[in-house]
Amino acid sequence: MKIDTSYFAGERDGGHTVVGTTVPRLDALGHVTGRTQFFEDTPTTGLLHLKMHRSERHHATSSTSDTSGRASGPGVVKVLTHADVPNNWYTILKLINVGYDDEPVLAEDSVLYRASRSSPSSRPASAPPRGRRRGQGHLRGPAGRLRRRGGARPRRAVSSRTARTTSSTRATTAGGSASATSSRASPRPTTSSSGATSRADRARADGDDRLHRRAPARRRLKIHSDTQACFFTLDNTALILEAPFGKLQVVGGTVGGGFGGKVDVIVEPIACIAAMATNRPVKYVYDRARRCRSPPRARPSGSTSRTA
Amino acid sequence: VEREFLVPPGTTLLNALRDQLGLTATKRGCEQGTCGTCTCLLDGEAVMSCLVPVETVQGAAVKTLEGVAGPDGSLDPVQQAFLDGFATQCGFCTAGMIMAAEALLARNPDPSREDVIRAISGNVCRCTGYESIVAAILDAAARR
Repeated sequence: MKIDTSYFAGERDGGHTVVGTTVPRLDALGHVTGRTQFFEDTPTTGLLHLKMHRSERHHATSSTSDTSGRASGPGVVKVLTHADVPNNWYTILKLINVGYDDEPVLAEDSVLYRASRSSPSSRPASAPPRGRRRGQGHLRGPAGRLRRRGGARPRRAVSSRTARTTSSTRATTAGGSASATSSRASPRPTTSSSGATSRADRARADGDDRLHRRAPARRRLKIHSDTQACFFTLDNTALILEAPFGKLQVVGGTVGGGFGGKVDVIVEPIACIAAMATNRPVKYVYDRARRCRSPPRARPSGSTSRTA
Repeated sequence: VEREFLVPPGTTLLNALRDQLGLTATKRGCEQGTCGTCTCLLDGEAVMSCLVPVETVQGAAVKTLEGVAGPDGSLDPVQQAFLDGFATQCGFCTAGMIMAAEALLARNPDPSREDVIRAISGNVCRCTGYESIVAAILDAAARR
């Protein structure tokens, strides 16, 4: 094939020789020798492991929150609940512009496994509306615009249609509490959270709203993730952390196809909150049972085996 | 190289390799034996290291991708074929694919296309499709 080189002839320096030749991929040598560093291959010191405690009861209403026993457990550095999440809204629906924020990142008053059709009635009448931050406007750039346009709204009933179509998402995102531990030992169960007071009220009462103020205002958080959508992950994390986008850096994007995380989008925000709370690098881990129930990097599959 | 280390009960070979020995070429994918990216050689046989309790491999020879290239860094024919044949994209499955190919070529230096497909049938690639990988393994067999 003859290549027409008359275009922009005056701008060619004669050094453009790629077309018509085989150019090795720059990253291929690392791939075939195992030297490419993926999200989980970065060496860290002082790494903590974070595990999510999931409720064993679907649709349960939380009445008390007692993490004291958990916090004093061996190897436990920090226990996180909804009170530690600056903006305890699961923001994915707003980000993709298909619905309201209608469920928390970590459970506050009820467990939203699968779907809840009675959310409004499960909240105490005295509880402030969940949309209290709308218009607060301290975020700059796209985060602020998103908030103003989409708006965090009071929780509303979920239609049966929505409930069906989002059932799998709810099953993986509605959590209870999370523990950062210094070993991979499975944590003992913690009770779920309470909706008796709002997150902000509880934080003030505990004198523990420093998460919100301390970080990431002073530091930049680096997130190593297998996400296939770095900017989406950054947006989602920034909204939940109520942090300017510029304070976050997502490192990833080299893992393709189904190996990349697509489903459990609260991993990065919760890991960030744990890192901020402990001032240590934190890795979100799944225990084996959870991996088999809802594997983060595999899809449901069947297998047939035969024994001799 | 002989290595001796202590691990908690129930630790898998994969986690021992990565977390105890720092050999991160073996990737942690599904951790339930469906993706094959953790494939390594156990006494010459390809195994999914996420399914192997490490206490069962005492005294066995374990080979990972780190041990495939020569001591001088020269690439093995399988690695070279993957490189030349553009058989990688994101690279996350590559370690498992190469180890599965190593096991195949060790027991069958002249495999058919069907043999290759069968050998990598437990390994998932989410990017390239499998054609370039199959071609690279056949190419490696021809180079050896």
